[in-house]
Amino acid sequence: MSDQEIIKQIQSGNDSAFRGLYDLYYDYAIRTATIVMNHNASYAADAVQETFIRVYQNIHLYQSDRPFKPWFYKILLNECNRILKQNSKVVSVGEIIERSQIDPKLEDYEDLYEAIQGLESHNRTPIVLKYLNGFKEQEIADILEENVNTIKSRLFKGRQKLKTFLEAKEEAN
Amino acid sequence: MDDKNLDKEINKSLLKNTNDVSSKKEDIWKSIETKLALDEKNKRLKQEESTMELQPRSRKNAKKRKKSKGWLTGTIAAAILLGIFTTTTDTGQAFVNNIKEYFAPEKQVVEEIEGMPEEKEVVLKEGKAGYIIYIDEERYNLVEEDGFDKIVFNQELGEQYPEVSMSIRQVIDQTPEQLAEEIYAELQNSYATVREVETVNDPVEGLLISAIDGNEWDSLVTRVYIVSNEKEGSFIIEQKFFLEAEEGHGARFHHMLREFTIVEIQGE
Repeated sequence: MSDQEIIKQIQSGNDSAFRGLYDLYYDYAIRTATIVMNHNASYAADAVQETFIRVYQNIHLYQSDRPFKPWFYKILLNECNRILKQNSKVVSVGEIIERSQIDPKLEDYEDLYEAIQGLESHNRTPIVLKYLNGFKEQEIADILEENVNTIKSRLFKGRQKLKTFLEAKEEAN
Repeated sequence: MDDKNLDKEINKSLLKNTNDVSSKKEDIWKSIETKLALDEKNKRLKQEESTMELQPRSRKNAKKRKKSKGWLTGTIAAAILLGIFTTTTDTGQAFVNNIKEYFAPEKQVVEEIEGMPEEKEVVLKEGKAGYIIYIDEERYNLVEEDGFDKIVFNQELGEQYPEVSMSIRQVIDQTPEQLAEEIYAELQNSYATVREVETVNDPVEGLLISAIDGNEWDSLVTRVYIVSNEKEGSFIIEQKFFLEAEEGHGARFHHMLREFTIVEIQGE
């Protein structure tokens, strides 16, 4: 079933279709929120939860002639920003421990992931939207309400930093 | 490293390092279901409540409800417990160039109205007089009337209902103390009871003059808050409603005013 068909069903009051939407979008939503929020699991869970609630409550505002995915991610990133702002002064000890436990199987990609996490958020978020979610530059610009050239430049700079990082790592090895 | 390889590496890294984050799927779903069920319940209660707001009730009942609820204490407790309200009661000047960059264009808040938590979305509005405020657009509109901003109830009230509004204007050359004296005198001319000017910290830091015109359900209530504009002037915020609506519109105006923040508009 396509996004549009699912949305139509939700709009007409079919709550089980909402679960279908959740199944379809949950995985990438939680991955995205986790990276955007620096691997803070509970913030990411809150952001995803609030995003789906907002989607459900505002589904009547969604214009069906436009793609759903960018609309969804716009809400998700707004929620991430809201939660980050709300909790900017609070750091949970539990979260720090959780973040420090990295699966040894991931070692190959761990350094690069840390480098991505180390990017400033204005570089990191477009990178996540492009490389994890497959959005095009114009779509990223729409989601983040930025000029497409700004996004191009942020992607370029973020990518350059990651490239430099990987090349330095290769040389060191 | 060539570009294609780099793209692949980035993609793999993002995927592999987030493979373990999906385990809470069912827990999150349960929370969503619970919260939406709660919201449905609150929505029903809100609808019932707004119907009740439009029906005059006896003063006796209103008083009884007022005594038993202790809404202000409840509101503060709920705000602390839920941690949802932001602490934007600070009316100090925020030197912002682009207001919307600094404030969320909309946000969810929980307010306690007549003893019930009410979750709603509020929308950022920029007033011409140099301030921002979040408005519950489901119930209120920001309009311009007589040259200044007025937040008005967006449903049509019958003729038997007194005005429900909150107007905001700036007076650039009079201090809150000077204005309080004048407003106190004016209100004394038209209201049966006018309370002495008091200093308040909530919902804004400033002076308050309260006036009421009797003890009937439809007795006029006016609350005037006067806040320094941090220069030589003041903001005058005038709330108007009627006695029976004190715990409804009165409480909502109070919550809205907590989000009142003075801003310096670019170019001024």
